[in-house]
Parts: sequence; C-alpha cells; structure tokens
Amino acid sequence: MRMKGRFRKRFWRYLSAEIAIEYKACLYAFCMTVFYCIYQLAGGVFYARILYLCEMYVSAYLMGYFQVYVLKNFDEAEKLGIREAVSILGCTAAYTAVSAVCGWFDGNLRVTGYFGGFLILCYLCVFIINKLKREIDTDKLNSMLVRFKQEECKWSEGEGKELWEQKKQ
Amino acid sequence: MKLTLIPITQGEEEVIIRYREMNSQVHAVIDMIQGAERKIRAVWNEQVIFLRPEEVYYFENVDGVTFAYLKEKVARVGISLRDLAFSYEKRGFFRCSKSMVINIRKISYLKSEPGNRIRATMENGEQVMISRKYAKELRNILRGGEDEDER
Repeated sequence: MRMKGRFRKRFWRYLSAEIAIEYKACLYAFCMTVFYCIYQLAGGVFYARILYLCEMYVSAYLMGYFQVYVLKNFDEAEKLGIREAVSILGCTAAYTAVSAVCGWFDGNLRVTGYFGGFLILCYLCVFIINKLKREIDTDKLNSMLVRFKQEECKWSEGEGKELWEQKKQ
Repeated sequence: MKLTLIPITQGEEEVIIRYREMNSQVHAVIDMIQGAERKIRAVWNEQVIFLRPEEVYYFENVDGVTFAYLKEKVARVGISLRDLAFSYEKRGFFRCSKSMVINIRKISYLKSEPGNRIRATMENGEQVMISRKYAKELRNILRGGEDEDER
C-alpha cells in the first residue's frame, strides 16, 4: 500500500513536470515561429519550411526539459535575480546557436542577433506575465479569505452582540 | 429566521431553537452553540489548561507530539493532527501539510507563490508554506465561503 502511494506520488510529480515542459515548449516554439514567419514575410516569402519548424519545436521541448529539471523554472521565479538573468541569457544563447547551426535565417547574423533579442524579450514578458498572474491570484485569495472570515463571523459572538445592540435600539 | 434575545439577571443562560425542519442553517447554529463549549485539553508549563479553538493559530506535529501554537505560548495537545483537522474543520481549521493544521481565521495574508503554492502569513507574523496539493484544498474551502455568499 505504501509502495503504491509512493509510486502514485512520484507519478503525479512526473506528470506535473511534464505538463510544465509541454506548456513551455508550446509557448517558446510559438514565439520562435512568430519570429521566423515575420522574417519570411519581410523577405517576401509566403511559406515556412516544415523542417525548420520541426527543429524549432524539438529544440523548444529539449530546452523545456532543461528549464524545468536543471534551471528550476526560472521564468516563474519570484524575482529577477542574477541566477534568472544568467538562465535567460544561457537559454537565449542556446536557441540562437541552434538557429545559426540549422540555418533558420539563411546565415544572416544580423537577423540571428535580432532573434536573440526577441527571445530575451519573450522570456522577460513570460516572467512579467507569470508575476502578474500571481499578483492577481494573491488579490483573489485575500478577498476570498476576507469573505470567508466574514461568513464565519456571522456565527461568532461578535455578531450576536451587534444583533443584540440593534435589537435593544 | 426570527431572532429573539431576552436578557436575564438570574439563572443559567439557555438557547431554545424552534425549527420546522432540520436544515443546514439550524445545524450551523447547533454546531456553533455546542462547539463553543468544546475546548481542547492541553498541557502548558506542567499544567493542564483548556484552549478555545479560536485562540489557536495552528497545530504542529513534532516527532509524533502535537503542539498548539497560541499568541504567546505553545501548549502540548494529546490529540492527533488528523483528529484535530476532522473535529475542527467546520471551525476554520485546515490541514495545510503533513505536519500542520492551521486556523484559517488566524491567517492575515495569503500570497500566491510559483508552482501553485500559497504562502500564508499568520496574525503573529509566522509564515506557513502550503504545497500545491493542500493549496488546492484551501482554495476550495475559501471558495465554499464565496458560494454561500452568492446564494
């Protein structure tokens, strides 16, 4: 029974990490696709190479594993410290290197540089969005807490006293 | 529900509930009246004391012994966390980790943390981290209050 419980716990932990990786892979693959599509459109090309798109998705998945298991989900961190900044630069450098090796931007170094800048911007946006999401959640939690306490108070002594005072008047 | 309060100068205080059917509201009133007298037996400074659940910030299990943390003292309680969470669930107590049961009414601030965790700051300034598993349950409890409010 204990073994079963432990296995279940491990399985859920694994599943939750996989979901986080899936989410990150989709998010960053979409960002790269957007940049690639803009690059193609700017060059007057109205198609995208499936091979390049596949390379982007595979690299986003691999980077997702790296972000979750090694870099401790830095884009969901509480504050942007040195560790997070280094992680952002490291991941951006890795993506940029893959783009250069695979020739996504036809060996154009300037565009590859823009791609790196765009990815840094994406990471910062994701970080800010996650932070805002948590702040909104915090507000919601505290309003629920206040409401819960008010509900509880209705049955406490205080309310009885208030009612008694009202009755007397 | 009609409420009549009659002040008395002598004799024992008494509550009489006249109800047509036993519904959740009547149950809540009964629980509140009965519960108010249900104190927790604890040991503090080698003395046996009785604690009102409302004054407890949280219960913690340390090496198999349960402690009740109050504003300025810590008392030993001879009840397991499981029983405490079960008995005082309706009075705002919630199992927030394997070794802790907190009083939601003594939480002053909640903060959403990365990984769907929640950091609870108690009225005495202590902070308790609630893991994703238990955070979900806390949200459900708090939402329960919201649902009742909407009704």
